[in-house]
Parts: sequence; structure tokens; C-alpha cells
Amino acid sequence: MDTFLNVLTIGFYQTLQPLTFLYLCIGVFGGMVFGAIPGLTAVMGVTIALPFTFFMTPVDSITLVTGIYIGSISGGCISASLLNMPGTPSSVGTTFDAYPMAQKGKAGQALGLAIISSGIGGFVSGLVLIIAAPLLAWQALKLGPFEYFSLGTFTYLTVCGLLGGKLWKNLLSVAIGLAIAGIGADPVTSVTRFTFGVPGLEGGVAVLPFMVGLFCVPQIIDDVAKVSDVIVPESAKEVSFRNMIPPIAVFKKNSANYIRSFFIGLVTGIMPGLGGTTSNIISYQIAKSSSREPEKFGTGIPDGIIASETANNASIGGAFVPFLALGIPGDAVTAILLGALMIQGIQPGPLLFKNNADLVYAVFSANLIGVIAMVLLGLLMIKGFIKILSFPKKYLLPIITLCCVLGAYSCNNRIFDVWVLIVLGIFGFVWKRLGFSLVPILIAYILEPIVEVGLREGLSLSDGSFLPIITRPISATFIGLGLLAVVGGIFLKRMIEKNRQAAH
Amino acid sequence: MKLPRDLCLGLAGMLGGTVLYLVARGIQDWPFDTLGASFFPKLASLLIGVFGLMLFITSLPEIKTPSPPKPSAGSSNTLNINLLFMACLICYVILLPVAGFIYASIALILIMYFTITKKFDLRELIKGISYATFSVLLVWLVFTKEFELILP
Repeated sequence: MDTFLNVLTIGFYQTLQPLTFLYLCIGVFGGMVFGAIPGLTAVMGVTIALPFTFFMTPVDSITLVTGIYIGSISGGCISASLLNMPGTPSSVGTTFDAYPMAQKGKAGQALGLAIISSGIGGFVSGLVLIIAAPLLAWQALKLGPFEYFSLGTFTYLTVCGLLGGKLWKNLLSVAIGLAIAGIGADPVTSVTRFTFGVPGLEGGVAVLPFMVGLFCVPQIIDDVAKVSDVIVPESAKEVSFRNMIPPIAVFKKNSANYIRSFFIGLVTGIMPGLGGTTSNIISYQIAKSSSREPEKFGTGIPDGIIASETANNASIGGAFVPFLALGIPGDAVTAILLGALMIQGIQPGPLLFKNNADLVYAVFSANLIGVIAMVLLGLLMIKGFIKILSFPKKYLLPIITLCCVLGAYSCNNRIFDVWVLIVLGIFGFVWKRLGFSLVPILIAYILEPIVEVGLREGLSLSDGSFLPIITRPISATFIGLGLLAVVGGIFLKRMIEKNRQAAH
Repeated sequence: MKLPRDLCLGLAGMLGGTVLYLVARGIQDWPFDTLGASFFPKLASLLIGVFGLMLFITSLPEIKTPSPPKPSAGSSNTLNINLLFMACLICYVILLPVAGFIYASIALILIMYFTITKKFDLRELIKGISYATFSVLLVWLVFTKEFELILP
């Protein structure tokens, strides 16, 4: 309670200073621009801002970086909704329903829902961060390798239980995703796998070229050949503030979805190594498996957008938990933030609350105010973003292509990653043409390192025994829920098929 | 006899899985590691093979006698453009280290511009070259000066 009051007083006082507030708004706006452009990421935005923080006070520095983080995670929904290209890995799940919704003439609602859901997820996780940061951090330390393995397996089982389309095609896609994730140096022993003698593959397939290649490049290849002059759906031009605010009924109907997605985002954010990239996918799949109408996911329903965007912004607050309380970065952005604080001579960790309490309160309040700023800026500036994205595609597509190429290149400063981008892009295009879905490949790729490292490290600790998977309570819970999802999914699919046949 | 597409894909999956499994067998395993570095690659390749087989089996009933082909003019034109663009992307990456980012990107943007506009008169040529040059230089400036990226 004391912390909460201190945030409201000391924290807000610091963050609402004119210059500090300006930095926060610049950070949020800049972050949204970065997030909206495929190929540019939150990590890039924060890295660019880092040198500027040398000349700032610690409070201004961390406020700016927090603003960029919040803006970029949320900004990904703009290109996800309008271009069917996730602006950041955290918005992949948003494309599945936001773009179809925009295609149906509800671009305003898709964008408004995405931004508001981001705001809700981010704001509530900011509150949780204030109340429970040290406690949650210590709980996170109790999660061992078997828990990580079980979480990954739970998501695989949930996905397998409820994938639409031909089952064997989807499972083949999952297996291919597993194979792609296995390329490179083994995470435990560093032995090279599936490199075929190509030196560039020894580092594996990086996330950015993989994601941009698989989701953006096929869309670009498609859009180049399309007859229309613009990429953005026609309905986007009629977006107004009014039609961006979804009806209250949508929020009421999805209250359980919001709560569930928030917790998924918070938990994955707290677990080091996961974060927004994983949370939006897991949340989307779980929302689909929990829905009474899972077959409607992917057709442009609010549930999918809510699940993805609430989770990815909730993971921001979650990522700050181990970062502030233990000095352990929750994801790549908080790792850079660690660097920003060390530049200022400040070491995050348990003593931060004692030695630099003012800074902690500033972080908490920047999180809350930043989310509010993101929602307001997002709703007000959407028309501007749409105008920019409504440029004729002869001007827009080449720039997007260049950004994708440079985004891939900037990962490791090598052309090999551009090759990966193009090869995966062509593969993704062909795969879609052959009637396969790209989503299972993405899920398998994202989760494979978690599952593999978790299992192998766990087995090393348990002397080769698999028992802890079912004897450790959290691990057993995840596995149990996963099996339930598979059985429930098969049962649900049969029911849906029966009803469909009865209707005909 | 017309073979269904999924049947061929299933066959490809079986073949691919077999090849990958043979490659995975060559991955070194350390004695202290219970599962070993080769476990997950072998698992992935086995799964590719098995799921390919299942796709093959479930597609067998779809084999039917051939019927006269139905031409769809619009889609073949679109596919040609798709293929051309994919070839351009490959050429672009080959050209990148040779010609450098600026020249290779100007060429790519010009090709994209004319593929989309489908107009080849002098006016469009001037517009295309101007736009390609300006946009590449702008992107180059931003990424090299602001982001301090070293481009080819």
C-alpha cells in the first residue's frame, strides 16, 4: 500500500514534469512508428534511443525507453490490421483476426479494439507491477526447467487440439517448424545441427528474419500482383473516432477473455526468455481453445484481437518484474534497459528498491501514464497512420520491402540473414498456396527452444528421470491442462462437424 | 490418372523426413546429456515423415480420372507476376554484396514500381527513377546515420 501511495505521489510527480512527460510522449509516439513498420522492432527503437540517454537524468532516461517499449509493442497492431503484416513479433496473433475484420469493412473497430485492449492489458499489468513486483519475482525463481517444458508442451497440445483445416497438414507444418528451430548450434552442448555445411546457419535462424520472412514477404509477393492501387482496405479510409470505439457489449462478452489473456501475458512476461512474442501466440491459441465457437477464429472476430493485444501489453509489466526486483531482464528490451541504467550508474536488483526508490516509482508511474498516452495517441493518430499507409502501393510496397530487408540485415549485420528472409518468404508464399497454414510453423519455431532446453536441463538435474514432469505441481498442471485441451478439442470438432452435417 | 496435390505433398514429406533423419543421425551426442543434441532433430524429421505418410494415406481416396483442364486466365497472370517478383528478390540478394545496397535497391524498387504500375512510358520512367533514387537514399541515410548500420 505504501508503494502504491508513493507511486501516486513521488512517481507521478516525477513523470508529469514537463520535460519528462515530453520524453514519455516522444517515446510512445516513436515506439508506435517503429512498431507499425514491419522490419523495425522495439529492440531497434530502444537501442537507437540509448545513446541519447547518456545526456539525460536517470528518470528521463528510463521514462523515454519505457515509452518506446510500450509504443512499439502496441504499434504492431496497426500494420497487422491494415496490411496483414505484423509490425513486431508481438502482433503476429493480431493479424489472424484484425486483418479479416478490416477486410469486412470494420477497420476502425479492429484498430480501436486492438489499441484499447493493449491499453487494458498494459494498465492492469502496470498496477500489478506496483503491488506485487518483489513477490512475483521470487515466485518466478521457483519455476524450473520442467515448468518451462510443460508450458511449451501445453501450448503445443492446445494448438494440436484445435487447429482448423486438415489435421495432417497442420501437424506437418508443426514438424517443419520444429526442424527449422533446430537449425544451428544446440543450445545445451553447442553441437551444430542441420547446417548442411553452411557456416551462416551455425547461428540458427534468427527470429526477425524468420517472422518477417514468413509473414511479411509472402504478403508483399501477393500484393505486388494484386490489381488494387492501395493495400489498405477501403473501409480504413472511413475510420473515425466514433467507429473506433467498439460497443460495450464486446467488452462484456469478452470479460473472461480479457482476464485470461492478461494473466497469460503477465506470467509469460515474468518468465525470462518469453515475453510479448510468445504471449500473444499462447493467448490467442488458448482463447481459441476456450471459445464455444473456435471455428470463427481467423474470420475477423474481436476475441482473437483481444486475446493477442491484451497479452502482449500485459507482458510489458511482467517483464519489468524480474528486471526491477532481481536485476534479471525479462526480455531483450529490458536487457537493453539494464544497460541504460548501468550507464547511469544504477544497478537493478533487490537493493534498487532501497537505494533508488524514486527511480522505481518513476518506472511504475511511467508504465501507467505511458499506457494512457499510448491509447490516446493511438486513437487520435490512427487516421494519420492510415493516410500514410494508404499511399499508392507503388510507393508504399518498395519502402516496406526495404525496411524488411534492412530489419533482417541489422540482426547480425550480414547478408545471410537477408537470404534467410527471402528463402523463408518464398517458402511461406508457396506453403500458403499449397493450402497450408503458417501459424503452426511459427508456434513450433517459437516454442521449440523453450521445450527442448527445459526438458534437457530438467533431465540433467533429475539424473535422467522424467517423473518431475508430473510430480512438480505447476508442471503437472500445465500437462494436465494441455491433455484436456486436446481431448476437449477433438470432442468439440466432432460436435461442430455433426452440427454442420445436421444443418445441411 | 490425376494425382491430388496433397498426395504429392505427403510423398515429399516422407522423402524429406527420411533425408533429414539420415542427416540427424550424424549429429554428435555427448554422454552426459540424457537426450542428446540429436534427439529433437531426429524427432522433428520422424514427425515430418510420419505426418507426410498420413497425409499421403488420407489423400489416396482423392485420386480420380483426369478431366479436361480449365484455364483461369486471371490467376495464371497473377502467378507469373508472383514468380517474376520472387526471381527479382533472389537476384537482388545476389546483387547486394556485388553492387552495394544503393544500386541494388534502386534496381529492385524500379522493378517493383513498373511491375505494379504496368506503364512504361517516359513520364513513368522518370517518376520511377526519381522515386527509387530518392527513397533508397533516404532509407540509406536513416539507417546508416541514425541507426549506424554498416550496409553493403
